Amino acid sequence: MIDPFSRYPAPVRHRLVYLAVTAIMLLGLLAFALRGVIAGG
Amino acid sequence: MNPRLLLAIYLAITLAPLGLSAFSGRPARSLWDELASGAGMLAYAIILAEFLLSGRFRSISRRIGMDVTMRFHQLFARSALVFALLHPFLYRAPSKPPYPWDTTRQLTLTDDLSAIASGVAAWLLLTPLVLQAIGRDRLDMRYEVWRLMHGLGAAAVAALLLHHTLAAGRYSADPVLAAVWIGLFAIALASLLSIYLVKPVLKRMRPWVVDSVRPVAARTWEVTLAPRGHGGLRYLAGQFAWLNIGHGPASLFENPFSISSAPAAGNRVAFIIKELGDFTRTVGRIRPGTPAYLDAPHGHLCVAGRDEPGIALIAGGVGIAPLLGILRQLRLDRDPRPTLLAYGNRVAEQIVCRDEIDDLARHHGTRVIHALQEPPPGWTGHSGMLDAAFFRDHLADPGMREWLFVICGPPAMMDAAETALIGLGVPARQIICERFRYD
Repeated sequence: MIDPFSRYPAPVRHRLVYLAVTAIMLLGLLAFALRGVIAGG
Repeated sequence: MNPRLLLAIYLAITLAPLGLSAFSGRPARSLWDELASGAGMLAYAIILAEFLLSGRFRSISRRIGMDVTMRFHQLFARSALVFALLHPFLYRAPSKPPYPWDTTRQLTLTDDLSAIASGVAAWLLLTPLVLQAIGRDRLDMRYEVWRLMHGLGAAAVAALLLHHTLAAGRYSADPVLAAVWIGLFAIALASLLSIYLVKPVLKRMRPWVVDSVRPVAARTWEVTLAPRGHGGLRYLAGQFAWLNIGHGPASLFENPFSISSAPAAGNRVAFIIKELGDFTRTVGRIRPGTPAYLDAPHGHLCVAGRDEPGIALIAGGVGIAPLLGILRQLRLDRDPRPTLLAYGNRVAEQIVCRDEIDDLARHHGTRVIHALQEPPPGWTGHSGMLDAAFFRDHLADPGMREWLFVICGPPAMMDAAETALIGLGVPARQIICERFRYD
């Protein structure tokens, strides 16, 4: 399997994974907060 | 455990409260009120998961490394802090008794002072807890004192937030979500108890004793421990242990040190320790016969099971310790693969186990390149640091691109080595290193 982060040193890879996980968390938070707005049209 | 599976489990734990709340059947409130509640729930879920990331659990750290586990512990603490700090300021609904017709508290926040007070106390405690951890090296505080304060502070924050979440949280009125919060809190608390209660009991059952302390370089010692009444430690060359010498098994006076011995050499375990901090300053005065305890093995700086056609070991200063363990093991295994040791120090007196390294070169065929920043007259090794130019000069052989590279030393040296190797076309999976200082 191709690792998209393999060209970066470990500290950069860890930060990229952290940012990716944080982005997913923020998307989850936004989806949670916006569900009322979306449902209300 | 597979790293991707670990990430998926981590996301499931931290996002589960949001998901359960969204499907709890309660009507959504305004965008800002939902953002506020969501940020609070996310912060608390991350805080509870932090206990697992700091718990020395081999099932978590075996594949990704203890250093990576701790790094994510550090990074996600920042996320938790940001979400927690934002949480109270995002609310728009008033804090007052509920309207009789508003049974799901869609329009007001709780006015229960005790529920708010526990949240405020946790909120006030969390900021110094995280900032103190980030700036620990700059604090004039013993590691053991900081560790105790960090553990107790984190437990207090988690307990206060459990009360706040159950008493003030609109969605925690749902019994399923309340049970999830209590379950996550229980797991977090259990992880803390496993370190401070269970591990000491296990350590007491497997005591060690200092067998010898010998100088191996300027202000650097090799401390060898012998098992007392048990068969010893099952470990891989290159791993590390939390070492406690001269204190009880429950003592907080323990520090991580790389194991420099080879498992194949017998049941004694050795550590190379340089005089640097509180404990290490006194290491030369440790007497044989002193009791010791180990929390081990940890770490993934290992070549066991790797089938690359050659192994290059890159060490800076006392970072030689785990790499010496690997070389000793390869020699005892009569591993036929070519090995290279690039070893950097400031002055010649700092070269650890120099005679043994020379012997490895003669009898195991290890190619050894010493680098000194301040070489003595007549020095025939490399003059200068282990920097990008060094790696370009010595590791650019195309035949070495298939090798395994193991790096241990100061952060700047490891950064230079890793960046240079990746620049030379070495895939990241063939580079192993452990870092314990990031901030």
